Formats: sequence, structure tokens, C-alpha cells
Amino acid sequence: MWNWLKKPVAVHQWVLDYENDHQLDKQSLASKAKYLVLDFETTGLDAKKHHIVSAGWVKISDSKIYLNSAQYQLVKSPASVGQSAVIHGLHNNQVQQGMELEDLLSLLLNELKSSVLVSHHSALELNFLKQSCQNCFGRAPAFKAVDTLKLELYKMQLKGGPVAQNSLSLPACLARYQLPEVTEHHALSDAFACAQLLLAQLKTRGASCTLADLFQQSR
Amino acid sequence: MQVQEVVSFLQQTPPFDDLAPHVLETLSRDLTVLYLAATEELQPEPQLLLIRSGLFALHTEQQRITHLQSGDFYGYQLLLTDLADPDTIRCEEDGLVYFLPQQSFDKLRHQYKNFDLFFQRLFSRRLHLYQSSQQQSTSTLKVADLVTRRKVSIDCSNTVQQAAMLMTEQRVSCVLIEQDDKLVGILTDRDLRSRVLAKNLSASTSVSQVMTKTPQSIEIDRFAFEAIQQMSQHNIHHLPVEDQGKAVGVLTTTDLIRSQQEHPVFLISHIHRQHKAEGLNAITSQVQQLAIQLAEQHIPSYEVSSVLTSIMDALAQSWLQIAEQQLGPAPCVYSWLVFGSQARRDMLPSADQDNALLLEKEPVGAVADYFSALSDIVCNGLASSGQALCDGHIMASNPELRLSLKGWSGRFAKWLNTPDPQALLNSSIFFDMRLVHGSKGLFNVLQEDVLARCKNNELFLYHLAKNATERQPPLGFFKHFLLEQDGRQRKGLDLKKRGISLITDLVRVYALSAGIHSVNTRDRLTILHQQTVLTQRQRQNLQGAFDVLANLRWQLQAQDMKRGRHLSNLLDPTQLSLLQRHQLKDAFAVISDEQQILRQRFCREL
Repeated sequence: MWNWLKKPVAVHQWVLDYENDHQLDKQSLASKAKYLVLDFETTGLDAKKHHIVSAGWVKISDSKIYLNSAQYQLVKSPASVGQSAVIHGLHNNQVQQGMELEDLLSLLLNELKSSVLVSHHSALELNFLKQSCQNCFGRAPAFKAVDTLKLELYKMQLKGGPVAQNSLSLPACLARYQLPEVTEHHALSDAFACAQLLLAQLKTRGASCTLADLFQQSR
Repeated sequence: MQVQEVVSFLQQTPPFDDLAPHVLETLSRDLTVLYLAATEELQPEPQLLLIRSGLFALHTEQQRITHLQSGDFYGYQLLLTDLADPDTIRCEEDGLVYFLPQQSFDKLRHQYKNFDLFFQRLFSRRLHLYQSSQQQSTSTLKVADLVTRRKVSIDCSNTVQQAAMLMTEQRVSCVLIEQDDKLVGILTDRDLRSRVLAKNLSASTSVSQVMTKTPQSIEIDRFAFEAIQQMSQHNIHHLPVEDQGKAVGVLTTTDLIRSQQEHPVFLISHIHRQHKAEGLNAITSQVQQLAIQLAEQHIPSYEVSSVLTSIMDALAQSWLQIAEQQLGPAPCVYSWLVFGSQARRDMLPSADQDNALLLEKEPVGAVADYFSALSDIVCNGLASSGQALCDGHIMASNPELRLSLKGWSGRFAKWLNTPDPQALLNSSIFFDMRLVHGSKGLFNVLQEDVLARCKNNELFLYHLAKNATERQPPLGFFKHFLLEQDGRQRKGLDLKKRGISLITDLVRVYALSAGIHSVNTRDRLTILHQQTVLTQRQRQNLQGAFDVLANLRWQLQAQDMKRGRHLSNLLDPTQLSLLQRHQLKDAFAVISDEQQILRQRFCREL
């Protein structure tokens, strides 16, 4: 019960380290940058009420996905996965074998120091990241992410015309670039699919596209 | 943690499909993934490249060599040999590629033999022909497998007593007689009894006086069933075996009996033992049985074809003997010829008769009558033994095909000088000819005559090459299969018309242009390479493509036979495994390439 009294100082250091080291040159070329493509499976959509059950990520460097960087972690959830099991297929007994949320966050913060965070519909990942850091460490860094959904929306709006409902879902975007489809809601599979989508999107943006451009288009 | 999507893809892609799931999971982590947009070029790297999606083109000096698509590899040349490819890869449709680093590639090659073999073959462009070792044929014996390399020989200047002493000492039933290291005769136990003792000759009689002169012999690399065929045809029990023209031992009937009982050799010797028509009529069912049996043993198609051809040859020889028994001795020397697939030793159970007679004298009067009767007996006999009559009447029973040397020579000359469509069609049948029975001398004269007329006959070769490249393999621009229908309204790939025949046609043009006597496609390829008409790579490519197509067709027909269906050449590509599809596409691509080369060589403007 008194654990929180002992931990904050040591654990807080993860946030400080991240804030110190996460220096991105926004003018660097998007095709040369390092990315960490992240996907969470959660018990619901509200970061305040729901929990992360699994996280998957894969890293990109120099426009190449390195599969040896692929990670998949189950996270111990303080509450039941409830009805969300229908979507991600993870049940309470599996989730309870996962790692502590704090350990996942420290791992992620460390990995994110040198990389740009990427996900599809990044608001969800950002909200859960911030809320979790706040809960565990008492403070959340100012995360910023490249959103493949917004990148896609940006291109579609440039072309003009109405944006059909559902045309921005991950499967729809993958199909548009004739990329292999994802069949299941699995954090790592989705992260990998999202990473392939980013590679394809970078190609449509030309060689001079910078990180700043990507962030701009992700708003 | 592995990405399941990548592992699943590897599981469906040869040669990775042979590896265990946990190996693939570890392996998948070594990969990097790259996305390429159309018109982008790939820089060569010492990594194995595997196409995941999209369409890529391989170029050499601005010329497109081939298309690469999902499941295709590149970069193995650099990994295997340290020699950089002169080719470049350009993306034509956006797609993903996987890279496997050299280290992982080398590790897999060391650990998994089939994996290594796959890329070695891919590199040598010998197509994706790899097989698990247990599928290798065990039942098709070679002479080399049976004969003991032990030569017991004596010079022809010796006496029969010296020969008998040597045979006793060496405990053999026959001795080879040599002169200046060359085989000139053979002397057996039986010869000593019947030619020396029974004739009351003295022990000091010279061996050369009683030996069998210029005996039959066989090369050591021939099939055992060929030896049996030769021995039963000439009714001999000892067959000298030669290795590159030098005697190395003797094959005896005992050696052969020691080999397996169910072997085709026994069927052939059974055929030769039949001296009455009734005995041969029952052969059909046995040939079918044998064919199905060979199919089940995974014998490569060229060996099966060779076995079937030998059986059909033996049948023809037996029917000719029966005919001669009935009609009395022939009024003149003759040669029984076969054409087409039987001549090429490419036969399948569905092949019909293609035969003819070459006569020493002009077929008039009594000579004509005799051979007309002989042909009727043999052709109808063969039909009753299971070799169907030829729809196109290319049979000796057709008087047009019973000609003297002069007659045949004139016939060929006409085709050669006026290469109209019918003549070209004829050339694809008649120019592949082989002697099955009768005078070898007579046949040799005709063959020499025909080959001499073909060689350097540019106009004829021009038309022949043009004709050989008119039909193309059924491969579309994007390397997809083009299906067609047969008379029975089934859709599929015609393996014969759009594959095997294209290769035999193509190889025939080269063979005739180079004056090669052999008609078997494999033999022709070997000789063409020896004469440097074809490069090693061309020979391997064509050979490989031919084997892939012939094996597929053989599997297809063996299935039809088992189910008692009509034998078909039409293949449904959806029935193929991914590996087989690969092989088939490669085979078709080889044909396309080679047709182009052939056209360039023979079809330039005259």
C-alpha cells in the first residue's frame, strides 16, 4: 500500500530521461528518419476508464521495417477485459500473465527516445500513453505522433471530393495500396500493417518530405 | 516476437515451405521489409530478396529479361558466388520486398540440404527441380548396377585349350577374345562343346576359328532392360559390356535374374518368348499395369517412356517374327522403321503407331505382295497388343509408306525442297526415325542421305524454325497461364501441344542443322552441347523444362489410367502446388526464350 511512496522518484526518472533525450530534428528527411509504429489493444476507447491489454510495435529505419525490432507484450489489467475480448481475442487468464503497465511504459519510453511515434488513428495510442504515464509516474511527457490515418485523409482532401465513411480504416487504407490485409485484431499484426502503410505513404510524398511535414499533415 | 503475416507467407513459399514453423518464426525476425513504388530501381545488396507483392522486372542493358512477382527470388547469385549480377531490378507495380541477410541465408543453406539445393538449381537456371531423396528411382537398373567389372580375356592368337584353361582357372562361363585391345569375339562354354568337341577339332585349334565374331555388346551406362532386350532378341546369354568402346566385363542372364522380379525387363523377355499371336494379345493389360506401377514408384517420366518404348519395340520385333513364320522368309532385306515419339523414345501409354518399311528392292510384284501381307499382320497385331492404329495412316500397312531406299530418299528430297505446310508437318513426324528391326545398313544409308540433305539447307531450316516457333507457350504478359479448351470442353493447359512438342520441335531444328543422328531429345541436347551448338546453360534449361513438362504430363496420365479415364494432355493449373506452378512457369519461360534464340539463328532474312 505504501509502494507509491517509494517508487515515484526512481520511476519518474523514465519520464525525465525521455524528455531530455527525445530531441528530434523536425527538418530531417522523412525517408531517413527512425520510427516506432505502435498499436494498443484496449478494454475500451476511453483512456480514463479503460485499460491497455496488449501492445505491439515494430521499428522503421531508413524506410525499412526491421522485423527483429518487433515486440509484442501483454499487459496486466487491473480490471476484467470484459466484452472487449470479442475484438482482440484476449481473455483474463492470458492478460494476467502479462507484464506490469509500469514496465511496459518504461520499455516504451526508452524505445521512443530515438524514434518518432507512429500509429493509425494515433489519438487512441496517445491518450492511453499519456493517461498511463500520468497514473504510474505522476507526469506524462508531451508525446507527439505521426498518424497514418490523418496522412491518408490529407491526401484524400488534396484530391478533393467526399471522403467515404470507413475509407480511412486500416484495412481500407491497406487495400488502397494493395498491401497484405490484416485478418485479426492483434497489436503486433496491426502495428506491422500500419508500418507497411507508412512506407507506402512516404513514397507518395516525394524525397524532400520532412518530419515537420508529416507532423503538419497528422494534425 | 514474430509477425504472423510474414510467417504465413513464408509457409506458402518454396523452399521455405519445407522448414518447420519454429524455424520460420526465428527466421522471420531476420527479415527487413521495403516498399517500392513503380519506376524505382533496386540497388544490389548482398542479401536475398524475396518479392512479397507487386510486379518487378529484371533488366540487362535496357532489355527486360523476365518478370518477378510474389514468391520470386533475386540476389542469390551474389550470395552464392560473390559475383554481382549485371542485371537491375525495376519496380513496375508498387510492392513489398523482403530482404534476408547473407548470414541467415548461409546458415539455412548449411542446415537444410533442400534449401541449398533449391538456390543452387535456381542459380544454374536448372529450374526449381528439387526432390526429397526418397523419391529417387530405385527400380530402373542400369547395366553398371548389375555387371561385375571383371574382364576375362585372351588374345585371338591363342588356342582353344588355352582359353579353356583360363576359363576354368577364372571360373567363368565365357571368355572375351581381343586383338590389339579391341573386342573381336566371344567364346562360351557352349561354343567349346558344340563347335570344338562335337566337331572333333583338336585342342590346338585357334580361338579365332571357333569364336563368335563381332559379338553383340552394350555400353555400361545403358538400362538393364535394354540389355535384356538385346539378349532375348539375339538369343544370347552373355553380353560383353563396354565402357567408351573398351570391354570391361560380361553381363550374363544369371546377373539379370538376380535383379528384381517385377522389373520391366521380365515383361520384355516374356514378349520375346512368345512365338504365337495369342501370347501377345494378352500383353496390353500387363503394359497398363506396369505403367501404373512405374507411376507409383515416382520413376521420372523419361525412364518410364524409355521402358514403354522398349516394350513397344519388343512387341514390333515379335510380331515381325510371327509374320515371317507365317509368310516364309522375306524376298529381300528390309528395315522396320518407327517415327515420332516411339523413335524419340518419348512414348506414353496413349501413343499410337507410327511405322513404315524401308525395302532393299522396289515394291513391285511378289515383293509388294509379301510386304503388304507382312505389314497387315504386324500393324493389326500391334493394335491387338494395345498400340492403337494411327488415325493419320502413318503405318507400314499404308502402301505409300513401303518404299525402297530410292523411294524414301526421293520423298524426303521433295519435302526438303518444297517446304509447304504439309511437308513441314511431315518433317515433324518423319525426320525423327529409328530402326526397330531388320537391316541396319539399309537404314544407315537412308539416314545419312537425309541428314546430308538437311545440313546447310538454309531455306528448309528457315521454314522448319519458323514452323517450330509458330505456337507459343501458354504464358501471358504478366506470367499468368492462358487456358484453352479441348474437344471435351475441359479447360486447361495443353502440356503436349503448348509445351513438350514445342521443345522437341525446337531441338529438332538444331539437330538437323548439325547433322546429328540421335533422335531422342535428351541425347540430341547432349550432343548439341558437345558440338557447342548450344551453351551449357541452354542445354540445362531445355532439359529441365522438358523434364518438368514430361513429368507433369506423366503424372496426369497415370491418374487418368488409374481411374480408367480417357488419357489427356490437358492440365488444370489449379490442381498444382505452388512449387509446381513455379516450375511450370519457368519451363514455359525457357521455351519462349529459346524460341526467340532459334528465330534469331535461323529466321533472319535470306
